[in-house]
Amino acid sequence: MISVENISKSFDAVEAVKNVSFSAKPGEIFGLIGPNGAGKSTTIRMIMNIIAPDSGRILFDGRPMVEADKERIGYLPEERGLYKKVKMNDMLLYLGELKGADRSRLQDNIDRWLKKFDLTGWQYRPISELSRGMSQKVQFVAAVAHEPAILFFDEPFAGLDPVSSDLLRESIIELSGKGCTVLFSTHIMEQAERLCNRIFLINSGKQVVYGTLDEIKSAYGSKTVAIEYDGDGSFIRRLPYVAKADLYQRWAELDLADNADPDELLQELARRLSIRRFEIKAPSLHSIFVSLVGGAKEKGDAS
Amino acid sequence: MNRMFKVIKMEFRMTAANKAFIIITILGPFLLLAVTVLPSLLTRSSTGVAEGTVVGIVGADERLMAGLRSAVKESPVTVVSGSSEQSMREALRETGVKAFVLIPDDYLSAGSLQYFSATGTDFLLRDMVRTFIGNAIVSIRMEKEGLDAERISYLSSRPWLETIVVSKDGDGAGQDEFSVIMTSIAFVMLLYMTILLHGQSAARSVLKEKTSKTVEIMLSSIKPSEMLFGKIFGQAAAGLLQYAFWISTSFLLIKVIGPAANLNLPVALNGANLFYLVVFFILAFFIYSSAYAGIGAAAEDESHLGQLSWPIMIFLIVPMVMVSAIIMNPSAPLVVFLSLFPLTAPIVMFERILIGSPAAWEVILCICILVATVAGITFAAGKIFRVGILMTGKRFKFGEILKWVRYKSA
Repeated sequence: MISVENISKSFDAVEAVKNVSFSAKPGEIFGLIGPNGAGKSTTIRMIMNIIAPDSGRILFDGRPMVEADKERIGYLPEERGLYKKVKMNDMLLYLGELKGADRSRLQDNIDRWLKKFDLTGWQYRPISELSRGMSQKVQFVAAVAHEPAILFFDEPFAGLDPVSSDLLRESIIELSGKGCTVLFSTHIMEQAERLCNRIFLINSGKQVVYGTLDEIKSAYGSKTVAIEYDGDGSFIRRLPYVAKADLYQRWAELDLADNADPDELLQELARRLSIRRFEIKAPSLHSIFVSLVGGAKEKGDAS
Repeated sequence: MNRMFKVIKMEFRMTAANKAFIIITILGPFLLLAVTVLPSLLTRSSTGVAEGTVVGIVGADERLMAGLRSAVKESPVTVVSGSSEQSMREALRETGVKAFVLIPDDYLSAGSLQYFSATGTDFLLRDMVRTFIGNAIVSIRMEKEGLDAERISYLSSRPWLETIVVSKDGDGAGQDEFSVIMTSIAFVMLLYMTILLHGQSAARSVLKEKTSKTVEIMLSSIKPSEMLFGKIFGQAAAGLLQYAFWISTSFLLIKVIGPAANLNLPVALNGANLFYLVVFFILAFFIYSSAYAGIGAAAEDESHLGQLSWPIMIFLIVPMVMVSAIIMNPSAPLVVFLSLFPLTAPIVMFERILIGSPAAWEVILCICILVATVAGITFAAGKIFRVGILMTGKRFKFGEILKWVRYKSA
């Protein structure tokens, strides 16, 4: 459990992080989301104890973080790099041992992860011979091989092909399933939407939104339901759940009323019609983000 | 501590596996050998000219030829009379004749004679031939004036000075100053090169953390100070391995190879000087590698590092430029000052020790000053490192970086 309490950090005149608070629990995938330059990396560095906050505190299982806690954290930084001339296996052992991991157990984990990512053939070759995608995956292995309880992935999918991305996503979900606390930062909303249970949206160093994905979606933007049916649908317009309805012959798009429960709507419709399709179209995180932060800002920073 | 040890190990491995490091380590003793022992091998024949060297003389009359024959009697040179320049040229190319001199008819009044050589660089032989011909011609001139050449030679001869090095261990054998200077320069070069090499290597190693972007992942595991000192100590371990190899080859040379091959080893190549070499290497290493590592953390890339390291390098270069001046005036006030000023002290004091000039208290004071400097400079480097290692995207000036020393630690 990591609790961040009112942390702030300024560099010279620039306030990079302002009064940020959140917590991440074991077993959840927590998204720290925001455009580039929003203060994500500074926040991460403060949690990592690389830089100290000007004010506020960071609690690790309810107590202030100490140097030894670094061993329980696995970190995939946004700025990636490994020693070019060193063999992959030596590099992974070195980074794992710096985290205090037991060598033989570490080696087993490295072997297992490299097999999973299809990198076994490169294990005893210098890092310089790896392709960009490969070294991305090696970096991921470096973050997880010492079996940390808390994982911090900064833009983990950047530069990966779709197959590797899927493999990585699978691995992150698996680690979270084992009880790891996964903190995950990205500026790509679709990724956050597919992976995260809870989200902290940060912009210009300040909290924009914080909560579960459902909470955020219901709080920002109305829900739309699309249905396909057989039968007379003219009654739909008069249902209390519906704020606005576009009705066609066998197809309709409905804006739900505030506090309307889509489950009740489905039951009501199913009693009177033959429903072939029922889809709740929640607003995307992307559109929420854009509406909250401003389209221009995101467009400019994401490039 | 455990984590720092792992950084030391990794740093040592990366340095020691480097090709340049291995080459310098192996070639180092040969370099030292070349500069120190070769002159002693050359000067073994006392003249530097091989026994039985044949020099041709063309156009000399009987009187000059006789004078020359008696002049070269005690020397390794033999003179032969040649009939013509052409035949001598052929002899130079085909037979063992090393050089020949053309004697003109008016040789008694000639300002210069022509000396023909197969190489053009046999200065020792040329000087010897010049002396013999000169002496022979001078004798003939004197006889013509009715003077007694032998008596004049006796009257005008000046006695030679034989150097005896006086030290605590008793009087050393007459070692010529050429050998002492060459050995001192070789030692000082070795010290200078290794300080520069390992200092810059430390700086590059730190900079590499930034350019290879490993710094963040490292700092998520270890403290900046562990990283800095891990790197410095790892580099130091590699440097000491190098020195251990050199010192053991030197001792092999002094104790085994030297006596066996009957080499006239330079007196400067002894245990005490090797000891001081290591002491000053260690002290200078920590001063310069810490300073370099701090700068490495502040630098943006290799070229920026080059610019930033100039103010430090100057202090290494000055004593090297002044090496001959220091050897000739080891107790001049400026030299004494430089041998106590922290940044120049390691090299200058070592030079003075090689010459044998400093008092014991000066050496002790120098070492105390250096130890204090090591403490101060590593502290400052740690501060600079902490700030600099996470700074990217700006090429800071040397002055700006020095201000970081005053920053409060994070």
